[in-house]
Amino acid sequence: MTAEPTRSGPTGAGPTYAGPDRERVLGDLIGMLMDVTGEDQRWAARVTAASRLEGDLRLESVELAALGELLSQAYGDRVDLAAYVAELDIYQIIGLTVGDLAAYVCASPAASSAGLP
Amino acid sequence: MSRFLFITLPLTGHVYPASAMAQMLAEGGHEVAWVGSEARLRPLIGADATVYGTRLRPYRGLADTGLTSVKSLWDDFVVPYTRFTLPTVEKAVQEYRPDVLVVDQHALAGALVAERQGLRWATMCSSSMELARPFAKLPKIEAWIRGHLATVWAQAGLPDGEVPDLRFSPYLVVALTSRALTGGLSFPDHYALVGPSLSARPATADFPWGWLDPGRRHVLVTVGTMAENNATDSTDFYGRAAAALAPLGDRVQAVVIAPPDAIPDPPEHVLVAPRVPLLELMQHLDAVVCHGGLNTVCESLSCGVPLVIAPLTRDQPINAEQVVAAGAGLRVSFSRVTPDQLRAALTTVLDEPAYRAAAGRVRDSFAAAGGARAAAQRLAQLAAGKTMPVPANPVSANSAAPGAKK
Repeated sequence: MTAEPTRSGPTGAGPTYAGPDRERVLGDLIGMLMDVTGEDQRWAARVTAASRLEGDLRLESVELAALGELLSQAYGDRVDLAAYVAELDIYQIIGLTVGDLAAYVCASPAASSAGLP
Repeated sequence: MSRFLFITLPLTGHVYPASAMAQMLAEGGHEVAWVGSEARLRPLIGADATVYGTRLRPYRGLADTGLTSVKSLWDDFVVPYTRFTLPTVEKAVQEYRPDVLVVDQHALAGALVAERQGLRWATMCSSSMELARPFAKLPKIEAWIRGHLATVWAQAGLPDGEVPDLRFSPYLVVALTSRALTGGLSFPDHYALVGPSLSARPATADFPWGWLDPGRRHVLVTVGTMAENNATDSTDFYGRAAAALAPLGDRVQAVVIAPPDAIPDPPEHVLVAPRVPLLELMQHLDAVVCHGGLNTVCESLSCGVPLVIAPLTRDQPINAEQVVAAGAGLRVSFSRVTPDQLRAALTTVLDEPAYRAAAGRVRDSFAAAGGARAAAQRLAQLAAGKTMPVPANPVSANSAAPGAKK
């Protein structure tokens, strides 16, 4: 049921994940990003897997923390955004994309069993 | 009488607080000299001051945000600035023979020369950037900064081994904040939280005092020179601020520090000026809307004026968090806040007395902390040899002996 996503990592040339979950997770993520930023559909329509959280979406630290909570609520506690980011170096965090987060969620063992909302 | 050598950054917000401490030291009979860009320093510290001039390196990453701003601060500013100011600091120390070096937290050449020569030195933190340890939960970022410290240490010809944290003197760390703001953070005894270091600096701009209507509340909007590019170009913060203020003309007058074209044709109750006499104006204000730089935050709170903070970068989100925790203001998103949201935040801070009361508590804590006078006292104690280095921040064994020359 869950295809193993191909993780290119935060500094990869671009997300190239396959599998049924990835598109759905991406859609969920964009919805959550709207929630934490208070932005509208027009803004969301421009968010893609390649959008960088820092440079493109200007996500602030409080918004990232709020996103982490929403991710845990949706996919279970083993999706731990803060722990994921803590493993990244400065270049990886600067380059972190929405697609990287989708890949992290898909790769997390809890995500498939927790059931998507 | 002791001699103090101030090693500064070419940033007004860093030089003014140092200058206030220098004035206090001079009043106490001490002598002060400076290392930094003469073009930047002279207008702020006066024509008579002794300056060992360095080249000027503008910090071009001012508009960067998030970790991009951390990267540009260290890669493009701190490391090169340290490298090219090092010979001037060496020369100044040889000629001036200071008892204490007072080192801006990111002017690392001062720390390097002091460590190399075995001199006492103090750190001056004029931002919350390092003090709040924002990267405690991002170990690779902290390690990356440590790597830069090791680089400048090696470039200065200091010996291999454990590199001390050059951002924090083992003798004395003077921080321009107080416990009313830092809340739950705890600091070692050699950290002196003195509050803002303000001096009676001459008014640098005229102001139409008669324009102020005593029947209305008064608001200052300033996002600082650093944020202006962001404010005018990409996110139009000034436009949103103007829209937020527009319907408040019957009860509010607003002064917006900005270039005149930032808000074309402002309404009667909005005054746009590129410069204002900030400290004098502060006495008349009921609220300040700002980006959350520590200087503006502390200048407001030292007058008991509550804040609406739209933080953009560097220590601004930390300061905003601290002000909100102290109850002295509200935080909004710089890039996303709508005019309605900004107006709601502003009227809340104006109308609910709790914010003004909390700002008053911070003002009282600043007064108790002692400001520039307390900083000068701690510096004089350090010069008099009453302060020993704290071993928790180890200095390299072969550079710690007083008077040791490499």
